[in-house]
Amino acid sequence: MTPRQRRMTLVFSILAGVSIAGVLALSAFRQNVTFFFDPTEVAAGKVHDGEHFRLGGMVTQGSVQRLPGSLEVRFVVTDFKHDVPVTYTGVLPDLFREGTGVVAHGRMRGDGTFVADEVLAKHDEKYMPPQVARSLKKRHGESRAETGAQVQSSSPKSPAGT
Amino acid sequence: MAWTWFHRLGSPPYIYSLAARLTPWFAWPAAALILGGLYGGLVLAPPDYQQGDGFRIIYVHAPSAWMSLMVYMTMAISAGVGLIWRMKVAHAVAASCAPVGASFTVCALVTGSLWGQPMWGTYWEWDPRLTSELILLFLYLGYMGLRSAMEDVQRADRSSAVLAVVGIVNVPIIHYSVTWWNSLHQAPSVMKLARPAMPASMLIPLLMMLLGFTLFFVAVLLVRLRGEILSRERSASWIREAVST
Amino acid sequence: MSEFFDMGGYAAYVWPSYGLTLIVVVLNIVWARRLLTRSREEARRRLAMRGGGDT
Repeated sequence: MTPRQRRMTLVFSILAGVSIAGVLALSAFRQNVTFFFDPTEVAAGKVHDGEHFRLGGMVTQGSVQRLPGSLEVRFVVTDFKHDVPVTYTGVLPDLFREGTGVVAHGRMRGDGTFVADEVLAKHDEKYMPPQVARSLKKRHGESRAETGAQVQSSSPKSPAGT
Repeated sequence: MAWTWFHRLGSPPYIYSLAARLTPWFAWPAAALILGGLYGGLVLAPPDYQQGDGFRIIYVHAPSAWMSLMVYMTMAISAGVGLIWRMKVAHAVAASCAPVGASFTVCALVTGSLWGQPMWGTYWEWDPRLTSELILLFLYLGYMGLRSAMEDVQRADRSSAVLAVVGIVNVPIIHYSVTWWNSLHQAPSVMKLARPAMPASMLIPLLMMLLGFTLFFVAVLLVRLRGEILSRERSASWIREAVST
Repeated sequence: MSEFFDMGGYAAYVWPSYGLTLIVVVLNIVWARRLLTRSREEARRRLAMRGGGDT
């Protein structure tokens, strides 16, 4: 092997080594690396009792209730397979809406309700002018966000985007 | 036959004069595309149905993020070439890339942060995309730090090149983080050939900005490269003529 | 016109983003040119020293 071939082998070996190490490390730590759990994972008991975690999913249409006289808000987070009721006291982000994605920080209460101390809105990767959105809504009789496309794009196995 | 071309690229005086001649061919189109893209993005594109005029941050955030990745790839590949072929010019290219890449990574992080606050409700989250982009910044800074820490240019070249090459695994992680893992940052809007995620009126200015910034990077790289090459060529005879004008 | 600057209420986020990007672009141009100028001056100085220094 010429010296140059040896150097090439060295460089690619280092690269391969680091890549393999990276893959192993990430898959071993997948539990800790998970950014949020969806309602199905919560229902499957993937979250430890009392653990502070992030819950991600869609806000069920028609589930938002504001309690009069306080800043408390109740809504349901769903991934169209399971639901988790959420309660939150505080200001919600601008883009928080029924039928759109959310990521909430907090923990489960004993009664199966998720008590959130922070709620973030998650939006999808689609952009469009208001007129297009309105005509789509009229045509399909529902807002674009309800088509489940948002939950698809937030799950790890989704083909959305490349 | 192809190798003569490749080895000519390794000749400092050739690269020096080539870089000087090529720069305006990248600089002027870059300026035109960026100015056109700015007008298209700020004025012509309609507001978004969800984000209103706030979405226009995309016209500076997405190009910055693209730059941070593209410049890193250029840096890592030239570093690898420099390591394997022992080419000074390749190391010079890598060294020239680093400050440009680092500055655009900062830009991507800050513009992203400013965009995240009104839309998500937070300036920062440790989600996979944001975290890996931050790691990219540390890689750039590490590369630059390693170089400046070493007196001998050759040792600086080689050790920083190893870091650059190793760090390349972060690039696919950054790009695929939003599809591999649950994340707050949404999936890519542009890097998919199937259904475009935005109408032409919004997409075309974005493509202009992406291309414009790419050409801008090449122009800046060519200028930096000339400076880098000059500072490495201590006693070469070609320098006298090159700097006498 | 003021509607344009207001950016639908998002002005506080949009304009600093554009401003920072402009700064980064200009910085890169200035930095690159300064690097080249300085390298050229250094090279000239080195040549001058060698040329006139050993008579």
